[in-house]
Amino acid sequence: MATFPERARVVIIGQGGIVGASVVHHLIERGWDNIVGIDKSAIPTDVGSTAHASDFCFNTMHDQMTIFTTKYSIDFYDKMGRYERIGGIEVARVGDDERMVELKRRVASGKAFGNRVEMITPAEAKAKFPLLEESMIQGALWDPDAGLVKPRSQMVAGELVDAAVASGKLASFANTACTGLRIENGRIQGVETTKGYIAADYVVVCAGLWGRLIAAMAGEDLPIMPVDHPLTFFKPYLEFAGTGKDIGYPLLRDQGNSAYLRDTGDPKTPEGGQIEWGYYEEKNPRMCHPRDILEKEQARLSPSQRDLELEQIMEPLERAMELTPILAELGYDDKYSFNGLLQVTTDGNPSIGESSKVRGLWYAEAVWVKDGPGVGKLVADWMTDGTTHLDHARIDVARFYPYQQEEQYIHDRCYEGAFKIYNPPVHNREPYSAGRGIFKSPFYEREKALGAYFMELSGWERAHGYASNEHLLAVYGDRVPVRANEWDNRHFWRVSNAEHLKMSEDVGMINVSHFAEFDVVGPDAADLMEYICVAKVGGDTAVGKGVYTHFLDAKGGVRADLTVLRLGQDHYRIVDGADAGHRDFTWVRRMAQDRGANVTVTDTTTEYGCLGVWGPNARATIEKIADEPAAWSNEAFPFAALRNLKLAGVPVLAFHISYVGEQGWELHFKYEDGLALWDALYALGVTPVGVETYANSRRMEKSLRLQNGDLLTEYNLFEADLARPKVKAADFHGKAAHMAFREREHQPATLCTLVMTHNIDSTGVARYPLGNLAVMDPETGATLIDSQGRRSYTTSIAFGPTIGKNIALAYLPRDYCQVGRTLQIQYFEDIYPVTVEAVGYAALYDPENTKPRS
Amino acid sequence: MKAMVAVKRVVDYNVKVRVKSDGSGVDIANVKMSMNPFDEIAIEEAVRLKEKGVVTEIIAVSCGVAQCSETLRTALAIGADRAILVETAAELQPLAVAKLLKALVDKEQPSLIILGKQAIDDDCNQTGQMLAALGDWPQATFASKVSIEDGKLLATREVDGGSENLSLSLPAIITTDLRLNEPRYVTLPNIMKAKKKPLETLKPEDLGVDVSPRIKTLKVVEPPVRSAGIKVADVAALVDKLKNEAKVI
Repeated sequence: MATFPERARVVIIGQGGIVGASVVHHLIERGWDNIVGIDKSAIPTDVGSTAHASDFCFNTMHDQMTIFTTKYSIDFYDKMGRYERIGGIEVARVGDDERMVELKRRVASGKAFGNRVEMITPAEAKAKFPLLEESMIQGALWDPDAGLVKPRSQMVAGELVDAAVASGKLASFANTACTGLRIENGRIQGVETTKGYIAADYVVVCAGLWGRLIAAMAGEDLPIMPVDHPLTFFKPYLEFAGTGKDIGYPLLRDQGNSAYLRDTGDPKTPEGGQIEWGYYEEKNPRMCHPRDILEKEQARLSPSQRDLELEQIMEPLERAMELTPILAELGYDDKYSFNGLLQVTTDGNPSIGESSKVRGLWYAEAVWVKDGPGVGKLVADWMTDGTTHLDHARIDVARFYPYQQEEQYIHDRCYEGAFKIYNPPVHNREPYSAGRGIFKSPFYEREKALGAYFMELSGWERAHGYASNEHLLAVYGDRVPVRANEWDNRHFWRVSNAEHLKMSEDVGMINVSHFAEFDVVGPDAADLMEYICVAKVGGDTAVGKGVYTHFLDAKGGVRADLTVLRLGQDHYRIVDGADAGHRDFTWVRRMAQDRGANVTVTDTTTEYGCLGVWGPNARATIEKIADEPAAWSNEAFPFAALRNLKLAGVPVLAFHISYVGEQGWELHFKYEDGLALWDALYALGVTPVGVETYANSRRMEKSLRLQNGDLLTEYNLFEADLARPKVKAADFHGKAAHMAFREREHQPATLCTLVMTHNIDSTGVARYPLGNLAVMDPETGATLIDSQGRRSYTTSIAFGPTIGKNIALAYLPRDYCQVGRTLQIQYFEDIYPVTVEAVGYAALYDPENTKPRS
Repeated sequence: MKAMVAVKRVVDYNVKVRVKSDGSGVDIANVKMSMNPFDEIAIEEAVRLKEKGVVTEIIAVSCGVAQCSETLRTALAIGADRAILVETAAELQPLAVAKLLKALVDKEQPSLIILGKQAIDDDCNQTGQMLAALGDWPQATFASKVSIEDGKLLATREVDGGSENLSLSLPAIITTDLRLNEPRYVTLPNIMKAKKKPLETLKPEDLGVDVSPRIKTLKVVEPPVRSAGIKVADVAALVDKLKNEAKVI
């Protein structure tokens, strides 16, 4: 082995796992060189979760990114000759109707995002998997692409590292632990190891279970947590003796019992001749902070294979024996069955990308074997291009706010997540019960007294509706359908839609204090903001103006949508969605750093509150408590303007804008002033309106696009139909790509507004869909795909009570962008007709947009 | 024919044991405990004899702390019919265990008593022999093959340079060698059934046995850490070292 080098372009920490190996492979593929990989133990790993993983892949999730990373990984393993595409079955037991419906939802999601899963009958399942007790199940899902990384992902990791070393681009060092990170001026300088210090431009942390310990060396934490996952073995199983197979039957998942089962093939293969049964704890998940993981010398089997007591799993095993009686016929291997550590996360997604605190420090953490190569590709693309071909908002490690890096929060959220790895099906609106009440608006106590139905977003408690408004259903009930389907109605409050209608006829106030806000101040603020934003915000842009604009990535993809308020020559405030806030804050800071801009960027989210007062009577109401009523007239205070005024003596920064398509203002104020303002407005009879109207029902009626939902980096501003007719003269990030998109004769796709013309399902129940639903050609039944290979699915969908229909947004291929054209969407197992109501941005409610300007 | 099998709860063979900091013994807090592997062979052999119709009842016995009942449940799952736990928190040395077993043999009158040849924790290799002496019964230690024919116990013992075949009259003591059999994996239904099988708990006093230790442990120390090797210049230097320092050639 060569001597340990003094410097490298890239250092990979955790080289021996499937993630580290996949990252180095793809970096080399993208032209990177001079890479050093270190691992605290062997390469491939003998201690990490790659060393004991069950190594099977199913591609049955509900989001585009995971469907991609899993599909890519499966194909990658397959190309290496290391994948047995044996197929996989997910069953719904008799009596478990919730699971049956979930399987159908998975098939529908596959239709949206592109896999080949389908429903099969119990008899078909039995034919594919003879160990199954057919009478126990009511149906099953079949994933023909499911399979096993053979013989082990550990071997694949070893082969990838060997090839990388052979290429001369990687030097790998086993038994070399990272003991510290050297960081100067917010940038990584190098890595302290047990073999000495190595300087590096980039450090990629692929340390898996130990990732948080490395993050701690950079003064941060990752919202991930190792948890015990019982893996048990039953033997001898000789069905495939002499076949040489690593696996003989398809994989079986019984998520209703939070369990899976597979055979391990020919007894002569590694770990062959057994039935493996795995389980995810539903009642008492046992988590293990990485600092408490044993060292190799201390562990009985390995640090990531902890002792398992049979009693911990006896109940689910008894249920498993009913479904697969083979488990009762074979002997239980008490000595080798174990609790394998894997990672759960606070929001179900991994931590990928550059640290929000330290430039050049990258993470690829909490990644399963089924996603390893896919994530390796994403990391390499991201490090090379600054972008990935799919929007990475949901996996970006920079999405986490500081409160999400607190140990207790991480513990509590991960614990809750650990219950739900397999079961129950996680609802689109599924709230967490742990880690709640982090941020409360100034009106929280008032809202609570009104019977607010709180949901949480980015730590903020938001009222989706108020029990105090139930009486409005007596007035508007005929326009607010009862959602008879439990799934459609779950975490939804009918009163929200009544509030929506009331606001439209009178005036309502919506608490939007959750807005992420940050100030950019300094001599270079105007130049920096001009460079980051697509719209003109610098130069002679008037102080006191608010501009709705976007950030683009280097390839012209839409990366952020937000409002920029110019508060002074050198002072900007960015008002942003809570969901995207920390990523955008980090983006601005990085841009400032990269451009050497003399600015300070400060998070002011909790310093200010915001209340929207909207409705046809907004002005008349506000005038009653305004210190200067005349200042609120349209002449004095035109649309999109900002004014510092006083209401009931409270200083407010009023912004004449509306996200709900009505006359009115966003009122920004110091947090401590909020309560007085609320009380003054409430005393005037202004109806508190839940954020449901703002975020969903009226947003859809106005076809307003939401970042990370409708606005994604894989689409440009022209496709989203948010590009302004003129492009500003000043340079801005992504401009070259933006101009190239502008030169296209047509855009390959356009974000369109669809309306469901029939919503009665096959059982006669009116449905109110949620989620990403495939948009299909009625002629062929095939999901629409544009010339760039992008699939059409609903990026947002909600019932609009004013319009009286389910309204959706979806990017449609150019050939389908015709107003009036009928298409189809699939929700669970049923197909529904939709018509294209608008191609590009056009609202169903008040299309001329006269109300907000009134 | 009744058979009695003694099983011991020991630290699992895969556990990397550590000596307590005060040198008083090995730290067994929070480590996996299992049935002594030689005892597993003993119980397996008894079950095989029962399956052959030779043995009619198997009594598993264990001496020690309350958790030894878990070890007995494992024996019941493998196929023992009932179990007896002699419960005590006291330190048990081989002679005390042999006396307890002697009392149980007197009580139960088995024709066959099978024990592991030694326990992997203390490696004493004494209990079987002491029990044979206390009861003045014949013994076949380190048995690698066992059968019963015409009321005689035929046992094969592995000895240096070959094997020794013995014929013993009953009742007799067998201690098991590693090669006697390969214990089965227990099925889940048998594990569940084992929970319902009878398990009697006695105290040493009930059997009139004084279990006080006769031997005092002075100190337990870790084996010395292996020191690093050295590189030698050539073959001659290697031979010299092996001959004069290591004194192995």
